[in-house]
Amino acid sequence: MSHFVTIVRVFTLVLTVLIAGSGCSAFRASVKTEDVGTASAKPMDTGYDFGDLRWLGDSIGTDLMSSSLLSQSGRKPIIVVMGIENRTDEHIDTKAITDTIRTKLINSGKADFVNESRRDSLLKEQGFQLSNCTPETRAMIGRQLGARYMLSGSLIKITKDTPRQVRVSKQEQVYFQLTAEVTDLETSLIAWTTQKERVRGASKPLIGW
Amino acid sequence: MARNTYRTVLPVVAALVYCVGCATVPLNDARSNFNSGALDVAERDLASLPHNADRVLYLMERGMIRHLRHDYTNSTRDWLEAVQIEKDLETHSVSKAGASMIVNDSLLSFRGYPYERTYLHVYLAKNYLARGLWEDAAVEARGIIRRLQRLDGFPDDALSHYITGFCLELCGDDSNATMQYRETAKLAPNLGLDEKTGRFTASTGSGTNASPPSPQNGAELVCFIDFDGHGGMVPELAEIYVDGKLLGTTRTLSNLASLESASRQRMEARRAAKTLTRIALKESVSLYASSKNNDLGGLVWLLLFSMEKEDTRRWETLPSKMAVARVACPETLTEFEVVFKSYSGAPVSRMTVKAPIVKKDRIFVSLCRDHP
Repeated sequence: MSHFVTIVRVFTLVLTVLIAGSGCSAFRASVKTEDVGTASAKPMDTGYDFGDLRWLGDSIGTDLMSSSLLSQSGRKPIIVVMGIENRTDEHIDTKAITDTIRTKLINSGKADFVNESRRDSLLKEQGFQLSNCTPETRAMIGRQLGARYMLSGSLIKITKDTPRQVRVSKQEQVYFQLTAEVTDLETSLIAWTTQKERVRGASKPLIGW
Repeated sequence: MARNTYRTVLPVVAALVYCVGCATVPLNDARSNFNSGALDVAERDLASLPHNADRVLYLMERGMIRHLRHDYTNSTRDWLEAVQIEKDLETHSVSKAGASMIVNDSLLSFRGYPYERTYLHVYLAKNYLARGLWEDAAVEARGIIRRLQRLDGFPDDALSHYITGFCLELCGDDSNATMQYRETAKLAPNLGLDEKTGRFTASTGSGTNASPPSPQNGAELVCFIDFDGHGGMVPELAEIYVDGKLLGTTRTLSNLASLESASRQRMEARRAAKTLTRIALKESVSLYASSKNNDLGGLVWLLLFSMEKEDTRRWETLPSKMAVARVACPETLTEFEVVFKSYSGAPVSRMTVKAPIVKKDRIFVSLCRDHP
């Protein structure tokens, strides 16, 4: 009998561990945090992450700064950002990419940007000033500068993974390509364009605890 | 039986009973309130969701409740979380699989049938359409394509292809939109769908009124309509009226009962094999216990087999049928009336749709459901 009780106890222990691990939220690991440098952060999976944002924004900004469009002396074009179209299957904030590019270019002093995303607020504030502010401090109406160039682009993603088969892990490769272009609003010609691409592979276990 | 034995067995019973009955009460209450039209109460029932094996199911249900309340932001949040968890569940849990071999399949984390996973993206796309977020709707459309490319013998779905084509069309991706409309036409060949435009060019033959052909240039309304039915009877079609004038009828693209039945059949062999293995395992444990102590053996047998039950979890707040109406409409559309009709053509119910109605270029997009 005592032998049997031992077996049942072992069975109980195993079962308890299995049930606890089955997700009834009885156990939680303690939270550990640490600051990770933006440069040393590693990708966790094949998806778009902040490393991609930084790399795309920086590299496209650098390319544009060294382009003939901006490198000619005495020329400081005005650009309007029209956004990068997200043609992937991930919800990606592509505005953050153009924000990075714009910050880099403005800080370099090589281009000016009109604030197209705040146009409504701007007009509203101008209207308020016209009605309520003293003539010497109010912003003048009709003196905004028009952009000569338009920055736009598109981001695509192609995913390839291993077909269904007997295996313990799933291999996946994801290709991202971002095309950025600057269009001359007067002539509608594309004045400058560049492409950036990356492929990232990952192996995901199909069996876990 | 020795006291020690009972002391050992009772915790097992308690643990198993706790686990088997894991938090289904609020879900059932929420569904019941949802079905009776008490959406506020239904949402309150699911105010806080458990972090257990059913979390995806809870998120699916709460997302639908919020979707019907036009709370598209929070509905989207729920469904995006469900998509993320479901993605993580691709990694098969050995612990849960082991526990499910002793108890039952409800211990496994709920992922839903492939069509339910696809519908997460379909309804996310609807949420984005309702908010006029065309690019995000197209992102979900690509998610639908990814799902539909990996059906692995599970049933395909015309509505999923159609909404994918429509989202891509709105974003100017005409070639891919055409491919999706072509797939829709293959799955529903009698609807008179023009693969190039996504418009319906001929009568369905099943309605009482043929829709006029949609315009090549003027404004048009694309309305995704879900059918629930009243008193067990699901309407056959719906007609769209503006100012008393008939604009056209719906085309039914999905029947949830068929999708579920086909999915269940696909899983039948796998489930039967697993159930047989589990029963054999339970019998072996009971026999071993009986060989040592007859009373204990009986108790173990009773315990193990009382927990044997079929995994019937499914996304129950999905509608019975899904349809689309794509019809010519006035340039300034602010509201329209939907009349749901039975197979015989008799009106079953009607509703006036004022929101959501959003416009992209010449296309008005709307959603509705004949919910109580």
